[in-house]
Amino acid sequence: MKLEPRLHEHIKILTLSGRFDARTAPIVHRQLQAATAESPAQVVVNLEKVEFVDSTGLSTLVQAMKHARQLNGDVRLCGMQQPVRIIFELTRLDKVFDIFPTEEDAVLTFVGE
Amino acid sequence: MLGATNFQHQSILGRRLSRAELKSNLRLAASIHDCLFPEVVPAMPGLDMWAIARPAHHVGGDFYDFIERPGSPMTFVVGDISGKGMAAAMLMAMARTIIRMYASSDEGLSSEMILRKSNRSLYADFTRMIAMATVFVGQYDAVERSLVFANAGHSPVIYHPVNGEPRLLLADGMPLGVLPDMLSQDEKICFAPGDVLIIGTDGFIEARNDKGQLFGYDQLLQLVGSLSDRPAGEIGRQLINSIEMFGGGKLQEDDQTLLVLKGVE
Repeated sequence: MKLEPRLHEHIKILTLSGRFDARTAPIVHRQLQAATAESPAQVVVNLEKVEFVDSTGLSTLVQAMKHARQLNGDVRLCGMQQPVRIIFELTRLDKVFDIFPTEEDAVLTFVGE
Repeated sequence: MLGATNFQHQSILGRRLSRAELKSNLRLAASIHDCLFPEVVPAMPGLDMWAIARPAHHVGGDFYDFIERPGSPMTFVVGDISGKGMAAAMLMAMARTIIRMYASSDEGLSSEMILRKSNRSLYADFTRMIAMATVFVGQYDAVERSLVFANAGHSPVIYHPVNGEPRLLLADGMPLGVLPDMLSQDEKICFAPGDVLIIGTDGFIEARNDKGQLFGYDQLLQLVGSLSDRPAGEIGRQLINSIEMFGGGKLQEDDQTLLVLKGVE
């Protein structure tokens, strides 16, 4: 798992790559914890280089989303490959997260909030 | 915690545990874990059932359960807690107990209500523990020969009616622990002789071969289609064998649990 955290104004962008599973989730969790630690907790997670996500990866994203929303922010997702998109659809987590085709789309939704 | 390779670990009392003590604790945990599963699959008129749980480690977060109340439909549950090993097993014990409590309550709750109330009870703890659980709850009415079920983000669930093609029964609600309120609703299907319902956990779909390819839904649906004329136990055992062959002897990466129901005369 490779992590590339960046900032676009106050929006934190985290690009993940590889397998997002029980083995790699703790690293992502630490990054997301830091990104959602203070307001505005506006985070975009770019999943375009993620080939697989398991239930630990999903619950790591859910936790960060809950935390961000408590601070009136959000964790928004973008760039999902089809196999990852299917996992979100089967677990119905596609109804919980705001999911965008591109990073630019996701970032734009935060601008002005 | 216990998955680490160090010889000694710090206990909560500040004492370091030897490898022998860790092994003994793990054995005890595994035997308690085993006790959380039904000793036998209940006999039910009009239904042939078979179930198995295969944790990837000594213990795991998958579970299945049967809850019988005299004069009421039998409730069956398959669940999968996020995570692996000991931590997932502890959360599984919690979730199983809560679900069992609501399923056996005198209120006679429907599948949907069992999930909704369980979610309310588990939500705060699951949030603190960074966990969620996909859960399928079904209730079989032997008189009506019907199944009422609710599905909180769980897959794979495959329904193969005797005169139709196998298809996935998709969840309409998200897993327990994600939002304070559940969205899953009751659905009802007929369950006539020859009909088959298979509820697995993601350890089946996500089994990988030596090329890193996943077993996947298409292959599972095809396999179910070719096996559905057999008894529940044969269907289940053949599915397990096929997954093992696909993995080519690779170590099982995730917990695998399977419940097979088949309508019989």
